[in-house]
Amino acid sequence: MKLDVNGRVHEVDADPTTPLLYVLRDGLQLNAAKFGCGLGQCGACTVMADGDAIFSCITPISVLQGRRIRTVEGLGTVEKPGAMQRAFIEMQAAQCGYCIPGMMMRAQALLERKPDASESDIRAALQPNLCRCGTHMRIVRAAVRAADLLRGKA
Amino acid sequence: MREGVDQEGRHLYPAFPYDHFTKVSDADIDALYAFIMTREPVRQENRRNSVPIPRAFVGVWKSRYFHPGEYQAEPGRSAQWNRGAYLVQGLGHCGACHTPRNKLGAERRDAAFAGGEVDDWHAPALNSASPSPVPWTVDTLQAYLRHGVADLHAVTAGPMQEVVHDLSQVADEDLRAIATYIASLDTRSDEQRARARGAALDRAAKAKAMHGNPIYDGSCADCHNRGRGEQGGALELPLGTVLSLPTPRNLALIIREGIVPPDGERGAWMPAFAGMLTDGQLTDLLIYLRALSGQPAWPDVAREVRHISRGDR
Repeated sequence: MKLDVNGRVHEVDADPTTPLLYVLRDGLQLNAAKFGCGLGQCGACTVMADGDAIFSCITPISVLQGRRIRTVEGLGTVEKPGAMQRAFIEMQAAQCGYCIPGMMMRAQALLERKPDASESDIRAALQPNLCRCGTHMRIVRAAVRAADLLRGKA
Repeated sequence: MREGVDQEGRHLYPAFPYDHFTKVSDADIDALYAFIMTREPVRQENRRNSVPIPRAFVGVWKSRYFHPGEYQAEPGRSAQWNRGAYLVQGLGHCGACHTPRNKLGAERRDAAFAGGEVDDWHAPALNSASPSPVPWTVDTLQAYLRHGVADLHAVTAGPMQEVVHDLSQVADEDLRAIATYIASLDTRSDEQRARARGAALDRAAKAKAMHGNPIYDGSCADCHNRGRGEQGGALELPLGTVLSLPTPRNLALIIREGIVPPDGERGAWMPAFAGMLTDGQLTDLLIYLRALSGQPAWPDVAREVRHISRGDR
């Protein structure tokens, strides 16, 4: 089947029940999304599908036909990081970094839907994503900063 | 509490469940009053009455549907059963959700605990029509009301989550009494109940070996095929009460919104699938899951899904 990831259409040869996460990491070498629990309970695998944040570890590829999937790789590059990535770098929000791609994609989904999201909106939206280092305060600050950057404030 | 009137003697709207509280004993009403009067008073202007039904009509409604009077113990029953009946019919006001209402909003006395509606949720029948594939027992009901989880039945979701949270303060003896009374509402014979239990466990075992729905296999099976006994495991769905309800609404709400404990509370958890599944995919999944229950198909699942997801992008 065909999968649209970060604006590129890939031909994927896998069982329809295969979780999107495995296809991203093993098939397409897009390694931003992480395997955490495999049960949709930690959020490390979060990516976007048509603007919604989803757990890629429990999303079989069969439900994604024709949907636009986005991962951190689609937000920017090392040379040219996007607003969300710049905010996380500025705020030094990563400790071990394992949860960060999921945090970024869930924050991105919120801010695209609601550009004027408040800090409490951000906290509520990020609730499904866990960080075991306890970097939450910086992660929230980074998401607030990203909201500013996305609205065009330097 | 007793008469459904305010300090000036005006009729109260029965949204305040005085039709149940009328059964509460004087001693308990006194205790409630004593507790409430120890709270710090606040100044709060009452909102203007915007109910489009005149109070005079409430008087007529009460003369037809309101049956004032304290709970009277049934002599043929145990003290524990009577305690349970008193709590369930009075302060617990379980029937406010679990009993169907007539067109004028009164609980139907001829269909007590036959299953009702609350917000968008269906409150399952607690009588012999209980949709739970494995019939409830006093023990499983007590555990469910205490912990919000029953391994062979359900996890609390929707409005019942709040109820179980509030029951966490209730003494074990009272919870046992409530469970005793509710279990007695199912009047099927032991043999009928044993047969239902056997059939349900059999169906669950067979369903586990089944494959063929890519959404179920890819999104649900990892947890739900393990059963509650195992780490990371969840309820085996053919046993789930939610699959056997007369409407797919509860199941659709749980799949879309997941099960999330109230803010700051511990509790059972299930991820939300709202963004992952389109309305069409959710509809297909609901139809597939319903078939696992061995019950006749739900009518017009697509319409129910549209109703639930209304207001979404």
